Amino acid sequence: MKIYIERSKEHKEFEFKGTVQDLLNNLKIISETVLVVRQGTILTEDEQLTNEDTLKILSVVSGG
Amino acid sequence: MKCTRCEGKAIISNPSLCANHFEEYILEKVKKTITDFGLFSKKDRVCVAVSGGKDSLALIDILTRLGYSVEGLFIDEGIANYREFSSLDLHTFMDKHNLPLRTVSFKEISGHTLDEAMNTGKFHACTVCGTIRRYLLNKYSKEYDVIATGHNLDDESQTVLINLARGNTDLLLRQGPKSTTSKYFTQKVKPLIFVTEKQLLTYAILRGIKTGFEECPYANTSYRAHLRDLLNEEESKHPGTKLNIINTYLELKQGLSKEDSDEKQIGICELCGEASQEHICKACKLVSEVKQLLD
Repeated sequence: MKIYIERSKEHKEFEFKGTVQDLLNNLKIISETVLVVRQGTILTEDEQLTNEDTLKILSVVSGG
Repeated sequence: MKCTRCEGKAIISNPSLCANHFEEYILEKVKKTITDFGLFSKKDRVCVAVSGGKDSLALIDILTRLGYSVEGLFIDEGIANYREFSSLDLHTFMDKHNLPLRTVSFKEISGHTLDEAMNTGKFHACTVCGTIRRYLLNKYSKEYDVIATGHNLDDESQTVLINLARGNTDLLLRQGPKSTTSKYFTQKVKPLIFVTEKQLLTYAILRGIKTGFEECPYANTSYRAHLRDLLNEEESKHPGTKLNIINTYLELKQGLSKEDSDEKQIGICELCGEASQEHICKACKLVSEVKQLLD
């Protein structure tokens, strides 16, 4: 799986299978602070992910 | 997860909605806030305080879709590697929708940017920014019926907690969807007060509103940033926490007498002629301090 974390501007690649919520738990990211996007589609926390997925993790927080 | 309105694939939870029904839900929610709290009508000229971030651009988009007449007022604090990006997004958005936009800057009134003031090491960024921003918003919005800001449920629930924790009774009592009316101030309204920050980013993406991720470089120094993280953690574990804070606050406020929630006696600043609780307003005092240090 390939992911890009917007807030820290990090690219990561690793083996993963599970839901969006599982992924966020692994990355220690609070779900309320991000949107997870796959090929332009916003995903809910229960969405199943596969190793072939490329995801963007967008930060909800902005401004001051 | 399925959409609770059509059984289609949901893109967001709490409530679970598909893209089309989510947009519909947001429009309904904002319309209800405007109507329930009497924020403004379709006859009113609405000045939207815009930063170019997702909240203020989504606000303009929503109000325009609901048929309100809006114009933008942009305040440039002078924060390098931050404000110029959102300014670009803002100008592109306003040009595309053919909406009027006025820009005013900190530099215009003090001769210096916020960055320059901060380089002296004598100021707290959020205090300077908040004071000068409120001053400029009021000064340049007199021809309008209301100023609408993009404050969302996250902002408001954080502010309730900040004011409670710091014992800021006066400020706490002034919170809510609309400010009290006064001949010295244009009334401020918050149509997005019941929409979370996460919902606003979702809306912005669905509407193709381009906003990059830019966090104010001074934000992490604030108590607000700490409370923001704390509240987001609670909201993830206990959905509805932020809404409960605001609803409880509004219920308590309703029970207070008018005198309790009225603003203090307002007069006129001897230097600039704008509204002030003292002989010299806070903005003029700050500008004078900045000039003394930098000129």
